[in-house]
Amino acid sequence: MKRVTSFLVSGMIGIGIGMVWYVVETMLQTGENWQHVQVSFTSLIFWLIATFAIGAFFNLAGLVFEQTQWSLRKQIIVNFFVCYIAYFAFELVINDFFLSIKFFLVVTGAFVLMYLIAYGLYFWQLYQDVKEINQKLKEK
Amino acid sequence: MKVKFNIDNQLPEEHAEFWLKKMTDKFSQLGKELSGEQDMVWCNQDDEIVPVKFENIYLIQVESEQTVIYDEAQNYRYKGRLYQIKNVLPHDFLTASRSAIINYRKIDHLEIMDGGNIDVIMKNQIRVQISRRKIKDLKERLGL
Repeated sequence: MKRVTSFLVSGMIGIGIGMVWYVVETMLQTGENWQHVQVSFTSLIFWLIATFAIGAFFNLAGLVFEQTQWSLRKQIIVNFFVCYIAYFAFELVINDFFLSIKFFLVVTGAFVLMYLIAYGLYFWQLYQDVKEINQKLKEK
Repeated sequence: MKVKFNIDNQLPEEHAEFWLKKMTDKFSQLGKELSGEQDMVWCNQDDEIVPVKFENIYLIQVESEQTVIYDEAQNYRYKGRLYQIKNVLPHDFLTASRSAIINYRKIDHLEIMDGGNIDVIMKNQIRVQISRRKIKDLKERLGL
């Protein structure tokens, strides 16, 4: 049950991030006329489902971190490439399999940025937790 | 949670009652501690069988397929498996990893290692790795 809840929460977070990305991308593409943009309902549903799937997939990819016999470095590398391959495949599908150098660089750059933000925040929080714990232990 | 103690030295028998929305591991463990009388465990040291009090235990971990218990200065062999001793331990103990249980009251500090792993340094200077997932449990025990 815990696993299912975690999976669903990750999917919802995926929707959140994906929708923000969608809005920003739409605004950048339409320029000054962004207030009058009309969005296709089909497109919106597709983004909702796709971003949920990406978020949920990241949750599953996180199972890599349960391989405690691996070093953290190995866990991160495996997780990074598993997520990257899935994300790249997804982008390829929504771009009608049109592959170019520019496409590769943009997709890779966007993924690396998202990965850095997501896991950077996670490890920063972990660092803060350890600091907080040590502070509490000193008080005892 | 509100806690109320009713002190009456004329009571024929002491008892505790909990009113909960649902049973959790924390209260299950608390119940065991309050109702149980076991406060130590029998261990092997050299050729002797000695009692080791829970309050003196710093760390319990699996080494070479044996369960080893550490107190401040010595270590002992426990005949059972880790999960078996885990069931009788009081609330002072938390699982650090699949192969180690620590007494959180005996922790000196934590260190983040170069590889990103986190070590717990006990007050007797023994180091044991703690899973990142267990950091949240440790925070709860410390009231953070």
